[in-house]
Amino acid sequence: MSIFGSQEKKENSEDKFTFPLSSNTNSHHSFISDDLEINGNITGKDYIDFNGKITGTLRSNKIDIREKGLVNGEVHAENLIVAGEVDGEIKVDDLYIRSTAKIKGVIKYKNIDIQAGAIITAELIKTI
Amino acid sequence: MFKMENETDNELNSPISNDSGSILVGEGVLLEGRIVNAKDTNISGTYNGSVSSDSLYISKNGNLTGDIKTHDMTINGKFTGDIRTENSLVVNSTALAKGNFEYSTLEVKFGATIEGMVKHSGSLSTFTPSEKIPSQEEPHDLDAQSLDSSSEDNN
Repeated sequence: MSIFGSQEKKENSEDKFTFPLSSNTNSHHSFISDDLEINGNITGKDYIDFNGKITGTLRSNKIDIREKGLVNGEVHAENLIVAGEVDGEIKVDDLYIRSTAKIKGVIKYKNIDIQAGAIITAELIKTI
Repeated sequence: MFKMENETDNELNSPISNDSGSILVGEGVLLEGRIVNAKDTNISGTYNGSVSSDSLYISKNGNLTGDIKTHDMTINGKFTGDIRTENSLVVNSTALAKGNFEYSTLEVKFGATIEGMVKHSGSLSTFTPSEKIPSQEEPHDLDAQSLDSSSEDNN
């Protein structure tokens, strides 16, 4: 029980600390910084601004995989912009591939737009 | 069958002159065969066969089925087959392209349909747009040459 006692003291001190982004809670915009490496799945319903590295599945309505973003696994979205790297499977409605993108694997799309310069080695499948 | 006055309407994006190396398959024309050593190729009709050309342009109403070797290619219409472009491959929004695509630079406009294997190849050092005609056999395979010591094939 002495362990709990010490933890309570820590929690009290943390209450004084306010997280800088906590005021921006009016929308479900999630930001994954390039400092983060994730093993597992991320599931959102709104928008993810992805700059990190993930081994697993990334799923949300709208996803931006930025230049520093790296996905090893699957990406599911309705609207996806890829400027970074994806190795695996992409399943989206509207896909925008930027010139800096590197994609390997399988791409299932309804609408696709590829900027010149992107490096893609993949199987393209149009879904209805 | 060859409506020359109509064909000029489709040439806005692909200037075709009487220069050597140009070939135009006009709208409504059905052509089958093999195109080798061309400079500019414009497919506005239907063509079944292979193409080896510096640049290849498929118009909105064009329909091409076959194997392609080019430096630059633009697809506005229908394509089925294998493409190997050394430089740029542009697939515009009206395009319906299916097959295997090997490219250096790929651009796809929103709305286009492109299906199949897409492969980036940064440097195609052995690429030659002027395809060798198969009958002109070259002793590129040393093993085959050593086996065929009697050179009766060349006679």
